[in-house]
Order: sequence, then C-alpha cells, then structure tokens
Amino acid sequence: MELKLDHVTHTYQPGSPFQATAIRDISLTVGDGDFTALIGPTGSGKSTLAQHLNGLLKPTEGTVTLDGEDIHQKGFDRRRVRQQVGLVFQYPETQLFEETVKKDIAFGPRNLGLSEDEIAERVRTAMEQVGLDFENEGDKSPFELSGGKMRRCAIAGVIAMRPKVLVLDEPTAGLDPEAREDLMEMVADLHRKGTAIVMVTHSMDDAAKYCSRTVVLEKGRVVMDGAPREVFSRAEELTRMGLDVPQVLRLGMLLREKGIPFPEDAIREEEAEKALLELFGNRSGPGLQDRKGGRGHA
Amino acid sequence: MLDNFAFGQYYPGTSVFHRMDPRMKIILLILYIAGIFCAGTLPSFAVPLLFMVFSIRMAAVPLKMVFKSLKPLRFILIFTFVLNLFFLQGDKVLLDLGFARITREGLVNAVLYALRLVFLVMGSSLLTLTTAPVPLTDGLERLLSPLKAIRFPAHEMAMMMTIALRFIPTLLEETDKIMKAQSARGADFESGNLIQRAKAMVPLLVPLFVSSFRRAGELAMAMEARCYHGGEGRTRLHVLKMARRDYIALALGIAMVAMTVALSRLTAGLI
Repeated sequence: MELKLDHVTHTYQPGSPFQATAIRDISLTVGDGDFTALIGPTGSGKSTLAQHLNGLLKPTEGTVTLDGEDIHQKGFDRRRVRQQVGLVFQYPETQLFEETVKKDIAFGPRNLGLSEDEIAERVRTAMEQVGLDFENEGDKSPFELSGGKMRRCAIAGVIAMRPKVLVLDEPTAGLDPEAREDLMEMVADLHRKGTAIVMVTHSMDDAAKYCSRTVVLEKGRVVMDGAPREVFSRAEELTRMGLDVPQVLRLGMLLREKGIPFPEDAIREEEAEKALLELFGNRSGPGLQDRKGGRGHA
Repeated sequence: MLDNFAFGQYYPGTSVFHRMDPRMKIILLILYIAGIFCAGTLPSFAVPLLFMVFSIRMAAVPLKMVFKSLKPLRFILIFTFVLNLFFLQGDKVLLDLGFARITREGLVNAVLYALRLVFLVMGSSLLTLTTAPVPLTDGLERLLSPLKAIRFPAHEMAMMMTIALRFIPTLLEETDKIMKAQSARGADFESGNLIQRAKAMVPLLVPLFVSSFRRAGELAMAMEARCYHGGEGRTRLHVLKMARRDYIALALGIAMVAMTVALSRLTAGLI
C-alpha cells in the first residue's frame, strides 16, 4: 500500500472574497508501517491535509494517488479509499448517532456491504482493540458513555472498517492525562499490528515517543520532514513558529545551561531516565525505578 | 460541501449602503416590498427594477452574490409560475391544450407573481448582504420597541434572531464536519432514491441535534455568567443614529413607491 500526495494545493472558496489557500504544494508519501506525526501551529493546514488523505477534499492542484492510481479520476471507486484510509476527526464523539454502541460501530462496515457475520465479528474485534467491553457496553447507548469512552467508541467505528492507514486528527484533545495515555497506547498497538498511522498532534512528547517520522507544517507548507530526533534538533526554529519541543529536550537544555552534560539528542522519557541515572548514579535511582514499577497497565 | 449557501450571508464592505442606519434599511425594504406589490402591471415594474439596480450599484455587491440567493427558490418559483399560468383564466386564449388553457391574463399574472418573488428575495438578500447580523437585529429591535407597550417582546425577539443568525455559519460548519466524518465511514448522501436519502440523513441529523442542544445549554450558561437578564435597563455599545444619507434614502424610497403606484394606474388599462 502506498498513499501519495503529489504537489497538492488546496484553496477554499476560490474566486470569492473568502478565498483562502490552506495548503500549498505538499508532497508526502505514506507507506506500510509508517507512524507519521503532523505538527504545526494552529491554521497551518494540518486538518486540511488530513482530509486529502482519504479523498474528502479534492486538491485544487496536484494529485492524490493510492497504489499509483489517482483517487479523483473518473471511475475510481471512492469506497476503496474510504475503506483503506480511515479518518478520525477532531472530537470524533460528536459523530455518534446510533441507539447502541454496537450499531454505531457497525455503521462503517455495513456501508462497505459486508455480511452480518462479518460485521458482528468486526464490531467485537474493534471494541476489544479500543478497550471497550463488548458484553457490558455493547448494548448501551453511546451517549451514556464517559467522554473518554465515547471517543474510543467513535474511533472503533473507523477501525472496524479495517483501514490500512489510520489518520487521526488530534485524537487526544480534551482528554485527561490517563485517558490520553491509554488512547496513545491503543494507537501504538494498532501500529504494531500493521496499520500505518498519520497523526495530527500538538503534543511534541507523543510525537517524540511514538512516531517514526515528523512532518512540520507552517502556513500550509512542509517546512521540516524527518525522524523526530532530526526535527527536534531544530528546537529554535520550532519555538519561533510557536511550537513546543518535547519536555525531555527542554530538560536537557536547562541542565546543559547549568553545566550538566545531558545528551543533546535525548527526546524520549526512557532516554532521559537512562541519562539521568548515568549522571546521578544511585542518588535518585530508587525513586525513578519506583515510578516506573507503579505504571502497570499497557 | 456546503460553501454555496448565500441567503443571510454578510458581504463586508464600506459602501453608502453598508454605512446606512440599519433601521432605515429595514424601512427601505418594507417600502420596496410595498412598491413591488403596488406594481400591478408589467410596465410599472420598471420602477422597482430601476430602484433595485440602483441599490445594488450603491451597495457595491457583486451581482453574482445577489443572484445566488435565488437558487434555493427555483422550485417555488417554477411552482407558483405554473400554478398561476393555468389557474387564472381570462378571455384572451393564447394556447388551448384541451384539458387546460393559457390565457393572456394568466400569463401576465404568472409573470407578475414570479417577478414579485424574485424581487422580494433579492431585496431581502441585499439587506442581509450589506448589514452585519448584530446591527440588523439592533435595528429591528429599535423599530419594534414601540410595540413593547402592548407587551410585544421586541428585545427577546431581536436576541433570538441575533443568536439564530450568529449560529447559521456555526451549524453549517458543524454539518459539513459531520457529513465528512460519516462519509469517512462510507456514508453516502448523494445517491439512492428518496427513502434511501432520507434514511441517510439520520447519521447527520442526530449528531447535529445533540450538538445544538449542547451548544444552546452552553450559550445560556455563558450569557447568565455575564449577567444577562433580558432587555430591561440594558444599554448598548453602538447607539444607532440617522444621518443625512438615511433621510435621502427614505425620500428616494417614498418616491419609488409613489411612482410605482402612479405608473401602475396609468398603465392599468393597457394590459
């Protein structure tokens, strides 16, 4: 599977006084096994870009191809893109509508024209994947669930279509820290099982921790594209754009200012932990170990 | 998906029409509507037509924007035209189909009604195109405030309108987003027969209702948090004031109605 954006430009309401170009000349390829983070300040075109990935928006210029075929050409089956590229919008819980959780998750698979057995099987698997209880929660109204569970139910509705690429637009926005981490672990798990992920995020820590590639957008253009370590090494530029850097990187900068030789390329929690243990030996060791041990869930 | 919605949309600008007092613009619209209903003959329609053309020029709004507001009306237009064409029967038969006849009177009447509808919508959309929602409802409230004496809730009406107008774009955006989200799950809003299409609306309407209720609750809370307690004793940030241009416009408006009535009388016998 290869999803490719080739010199894509998108202008909203062209020719009207409200004309606005959201993304300009963007080329991007998503392949099997990728975990890409899309970061950028508000209004940089991240969401517009995300909506091009499954053909919801048609580029004003440029092409989007799936395995070499232009998805907007005549005769191309739109359902194929929708099935292969799942898109989870911001605050996806606002799209829930069915009487029960099961029925809501079944909406996508049903639209694909699958058999009832297949649908039931997919609903069950999708609920397991997002950590919802099929027996106890399956027949509840989705509106009775807690905020975090509503979000997971909505995501299950997309996962149940078994996409090869899952695009998530700020999946953790508005969730509490625990729900956030659970959700990110769930996404990481999907990635491990072979789904390519494209995630729009404002969390540099998540980008550093989970992604294999980080794409930075500014004013509708790709300004950086590379491994998280590469991108975050340009901390000054990111800060100038109004973006953050991972906490570990900031910690490192502060420590180096004080003359403590913290490694410059550390961006993840576990790297920080290792570096700190090397630096301070067993002085602070036990405390950190304990915290690690306390986090039992995966 | 829904970006061609024109009715009730504000087109920012600085023309005389944009700067006019909203109250006067509403009065002008009422006069204009009176004008088009006074025009009982085809020639007398020239006066409101000229007035419209002049107004659009003064408002410096692209014609395209004004005509766009007619698009949702096309079915009603065709329907009333056809209805009038066949149901008003006169003496001079133009076409006899056996089961129905088209007469000269029917044709004239059908054209007149269609013109009235078109002009009515064009006039109202010119008002909303050149007046931002807040001044518009402010003006309306002030115009209706004498009715408070008979317990007409002018302020509440205006506040309801402000809120309704304010939320049209928000709701459109929301609709667009939910449509996209459901399309991403393979929903199809564009094909199928009438029943299938109606069914396809459920995944769109349920979330839309849910979010509208939530929004309404949040808005009420936010208004109360800012001590909103109705119109009594409420002062305003922008106090409306009539200027010279408003009185000139009023004079022009009255002249237009007078001329239409006169021309309509003069040409009454001709058709």
